[in-house]
Amino acid sequence: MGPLRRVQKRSSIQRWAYSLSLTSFLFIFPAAVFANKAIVKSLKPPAQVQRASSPDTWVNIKKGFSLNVGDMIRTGKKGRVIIRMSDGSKMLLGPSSRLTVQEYAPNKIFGLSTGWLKSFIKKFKRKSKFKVKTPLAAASVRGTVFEIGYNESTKQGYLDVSKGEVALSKGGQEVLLHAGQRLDFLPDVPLGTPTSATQQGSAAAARSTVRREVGLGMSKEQVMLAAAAEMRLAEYQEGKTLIDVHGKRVRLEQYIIRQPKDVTAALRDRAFKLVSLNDRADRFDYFYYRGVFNTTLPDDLSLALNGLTGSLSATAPTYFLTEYEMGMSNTQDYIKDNASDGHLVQISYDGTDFTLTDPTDATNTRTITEDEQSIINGVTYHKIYDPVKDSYTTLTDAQYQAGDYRPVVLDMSNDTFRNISSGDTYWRTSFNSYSHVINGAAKNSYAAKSTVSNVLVLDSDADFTFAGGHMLVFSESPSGTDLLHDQATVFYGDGTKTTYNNYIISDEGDIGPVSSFANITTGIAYKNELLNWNYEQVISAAEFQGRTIDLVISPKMLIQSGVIK
Amino acid sequence: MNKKNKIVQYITTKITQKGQVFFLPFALFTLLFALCPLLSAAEVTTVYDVRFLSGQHFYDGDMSSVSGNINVMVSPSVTLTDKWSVLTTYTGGYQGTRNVQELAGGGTLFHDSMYHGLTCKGIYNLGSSWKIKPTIGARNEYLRETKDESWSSGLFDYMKYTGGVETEYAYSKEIGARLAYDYYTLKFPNYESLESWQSATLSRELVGADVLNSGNHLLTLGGWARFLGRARAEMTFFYNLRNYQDQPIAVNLSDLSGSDRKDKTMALQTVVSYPWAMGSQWRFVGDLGFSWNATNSDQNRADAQQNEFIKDYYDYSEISVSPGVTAAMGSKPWVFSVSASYTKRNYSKRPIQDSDGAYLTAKTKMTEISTAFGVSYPIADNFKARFISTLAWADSNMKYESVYKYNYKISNYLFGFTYEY
Repeated sequence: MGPLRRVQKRSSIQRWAYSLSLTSFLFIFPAAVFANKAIVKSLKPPAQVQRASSPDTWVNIKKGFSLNVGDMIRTGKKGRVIIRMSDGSKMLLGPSSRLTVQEYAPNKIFGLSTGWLKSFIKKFKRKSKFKVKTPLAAASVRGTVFEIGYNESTKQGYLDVSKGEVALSKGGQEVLLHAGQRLDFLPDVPLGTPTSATQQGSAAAARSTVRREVGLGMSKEQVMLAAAAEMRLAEYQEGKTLIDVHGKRVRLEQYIIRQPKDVTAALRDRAFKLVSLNDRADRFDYFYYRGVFNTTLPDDLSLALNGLTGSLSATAPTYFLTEYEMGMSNTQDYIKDNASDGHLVQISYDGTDFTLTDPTDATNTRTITEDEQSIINGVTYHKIYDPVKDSYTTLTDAQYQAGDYRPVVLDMSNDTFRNISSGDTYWRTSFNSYSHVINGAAKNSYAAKSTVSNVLVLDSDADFTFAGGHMLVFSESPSGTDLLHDQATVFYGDGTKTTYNNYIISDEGDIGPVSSFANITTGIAYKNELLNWNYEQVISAAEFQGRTIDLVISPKMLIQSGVIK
Repeated sequence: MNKKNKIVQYITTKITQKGQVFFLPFALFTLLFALCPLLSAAEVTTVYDVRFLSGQHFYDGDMSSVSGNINVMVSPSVTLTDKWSVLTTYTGGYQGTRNVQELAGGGTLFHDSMYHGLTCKGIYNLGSSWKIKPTIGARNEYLRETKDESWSSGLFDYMKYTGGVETEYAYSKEIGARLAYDYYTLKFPNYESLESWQSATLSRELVGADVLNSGNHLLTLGGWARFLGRARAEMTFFYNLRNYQDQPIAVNLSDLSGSDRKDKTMALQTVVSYPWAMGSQWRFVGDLGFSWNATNSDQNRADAQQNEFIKDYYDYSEISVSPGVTAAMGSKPWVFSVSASYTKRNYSKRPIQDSDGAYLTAKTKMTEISTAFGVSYPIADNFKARFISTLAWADSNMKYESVYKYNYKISNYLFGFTYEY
C-alpha cells in the first residue's frame, strides 16, 4: 500500500469518525484529528500564523500547531518552522519567509510569497499533486527533495532539486529539473537551462558560496599583485633592464656620487662620479667618470654637469673640469683615461676663422681657419677644424660637398644640437696632460709642450707618446654595410692591438639598420638620432687574454662624458 | 636532531633552495590530500576552474610565436561544524602568451611566466548575519625574461606572504558589506640593487640592497546590493600602505636619505550589472565598471642620465571606465561577450620628455583604450570551448621611448577550453 492509499484510508476513517461526537472522537482517536492536516513539528522563533478564520490577527506558533487551508505562516529574520504532513513529508520554511496553505487534500498546494522553502516529499500516487507556488513560478513534484526560494522585493527566485524530478512552470513555459539541478527565475525573462549540480543536498548553492568566497579573496589578491607589477613597471620605465646584442638580459644602473671617497679630501666638495653598472647572468661590467671641477659644486649638480664638455655662451661658465678619470672594467681588466690641468678655452667664430684664447692669459691665442683648402695633383682637399673636438679632418671636395661638416654644439637654451654660427662664443675645457692605460700599460698619452702654458690646440701645443712609438687605426663593418656595427682596431708600435666593436642597438638587442641614419648628413641629426638608441661597446685587447669589456651605456652619458664627440 | 626536526629542516631547505619551483605546490597538495581522509566525516564542497588557452600576441605589428596559457584553480571547502568551515584555494598557472595588460610598455621583455598560490581561509559564522574570516596565504611567481633563463632565476621572481582577517555582514541575501585588514610582504629574492654590490668608491652612502622588497598594509571596505529589481551593484574601497624596507629616498640628484620609501595607494572599484531578455532565446547581462585609484609616494627620482632630479616622480591618479555586455543564445547557450575599457593615468609631478630624453614642463599623461570580444560554447558538462581576442591602443604625451614604450598598439587572440565545476 502506497502512502497515498494510506492517506485516503485515513480520510475515510476521519469521515466515519466525524459522524461521532467531537468529544468522544478526540478522546478515542486523537491521532486521526491531525491526520489530514499539516502540523508544526518544531520551530525557532520568531514564527507566527494568521488563521484563515482571523485574517487580521497574527499569533505566535507553538510546536504541534495544525495548519488549515488558508492559514498563512511567517518567520522572522532568525525564525524557522518545520512542518510535518500527514504522509510523513516534511517542509522547512526558512527565515524571513511567508507561506500559505492553499490546498491540502487531495492536492497539496502551498504559496510561497517570499523567502525559501525546502521540501522532503514522500512518494505518493501520480494523480495527486504537490505544488509550491511563488508569485512568479510554480514547482510541481512527485516524490523529491527540493528547495525553492523567492524574493518579493527583487521578484527573483530559484529552484534547487536534490532528489527526484521537479517541473518548474512559469508563464506557460515548463522546465523539468532532475536531481542535482538548479534554475533561477526572473520576471520578464524566460526560464533558462538548469545548471548542473551534484546529487548531494544543495551542492550547487554550496559551490556558489565557495566561488563567491574565492572571488572575494581574488579581488584583494589583485590589489596586492598590482603592487608587484608596478615595481616591475617602474624598473622598465627607468630603463634598468634591456636585452643586449647577444640576446642576454642586461641590468643597468646609472647614478651620480657626490664627494667620491677616492678624491683627496681638499678637492672632494668639487668632485662627482658618474657610474654605470651592467649586470648579466655571467658577467659584470662597469663604467665610471670621475670629475673634479674648478670650484665647489652647487646643490643642483645639473648646473655643473650640463656644461661638462663645453658650453655655448657669451660669458665664461662658472664650472669647468680641472681633471677627470674615466674607467671601464669587467672587474678583471680595465681601461683607464686620466686627464689633468684642465682649463677653459674661449672659442670665437667669425664665420671663417676660429680664434682660440686662454682666458687666464690673453697672449696665449691661436687663429685657425675652419676650412683650409689645398689642391694636390689636381684634387681639391679640405682640412676642416672642429674646435669642439679639437681635431682636424681632411676630406676630398666630393666628400666635403656631400655632407655638412660644420662643428656641432649643444645649445643649452633648448637642449638641442646645432651648427656653430658666426658670432658664437664657445667654451671648451682642455687638459694639459692625458694618458690612456690598459691593464697598467700606457698605450698613448700627451703632455703640453714646455713652451706652452695651457694647451689650446692639441696638434700644435702637445707632445704625444704611443706604445711602441706609433699608433694606427683601422676601421671596418663586420656585420655588413646595412647594420650599425663598426669595428675599430688600434695597432700600436709594440705589436699590441685593441679592438672596439661598437653597436647601436634597440632595447630588444637588435642592431640598428643603417637606414635609420640614411638621410642624416649632419652631426646634429646624427647625435639626435643616436639618443633614440642604446650603445653597446665590446672591447678586446692584447692585455685582456681573450676576455672582453662589454658595456651597454646610454649614448647621452657617452656624449656628456666626451666619449662620443 | 630528532626525526621531526629533520623533516622540518628538509622542507625548509627545499623551499628556500633555488630550482625547487615545483616543490612548494607539490608539498602543499600532498599535505592537502593527506588531510582528506581525516576530513572525510566533514562536508566537503570543491570547486574547480581550469582554463587552457593558446594563441599569439601582436605588438606594434610584430607577431609572437604561438604559445599556450594554462590556469588552474582548485578550492575545497570543508564544513567542520555549524560555525566553522575552512576554504583552501590553490591557484596556479603557466603563461606562454601574454595578455594585453602584461604586454604594455616594457612587458614585452618577458618570455613566459608561472605562478603558484595557496590560500587558507577560515570562516566562522557569528549568528546568521556576521562572518569572521581569518586568512593566510602564499604565492610565488616566476618570470623568465629570456629563453635560456631557468625557472626561479628570473630577476623579477617574487614571493608574497599574506595574513589577515575579514568581517562580513549580510543584511540579507541581497545586501551586505565587508571590512578586511591584510598584511602582506613582497620579496624579490633575485633582485638587489647593483650599486649595493659596489665598493665605497663606486657607490653612494646609504644605498639599499633589497630595494623592491616591501611590507604592506591593505584595508578593504566593500558592499553590495540589489536595486531596481534585478540590478546589482558592488563597490570596494582599498587603502594600501606600502613600506619599502630597503629603498632610501633620493633627496637630490646625488644623495640618499636615511628614510625609506613609503607609498600610499587608494582605489575605489564599482561595478553595476543588469540582466534582461529579448524573446525566448536571448538573455543578456550588461556591466558597467568604474574605478579610480591614486598613488602618493614620498620617493623622488634622480635621473643621472639626464641630470634631473624630479620630486614625487611616482605620484599619479587614474580613472577607468569599462562597459560590457554578455549575451547567451539558446538553451545550450552560445555566450558572446563584448567589452571595452578607457583608462587615463595622470602623473602629477612627472615631466614629459621629448624623443631625445630632454625634460619638458608638461606632466605625463597616459591613455589606454581596449576592446575585447569573446565567445564560448558548451561542448560537454562543465566544459566550454572559448575564444577571446583583445585589441588595445596606448597614447601618451611622453615621447621618450628609448627605454619604455608609451605609445603602442597591441592585440592578441586566445582559444581553447575551460572547465568549471
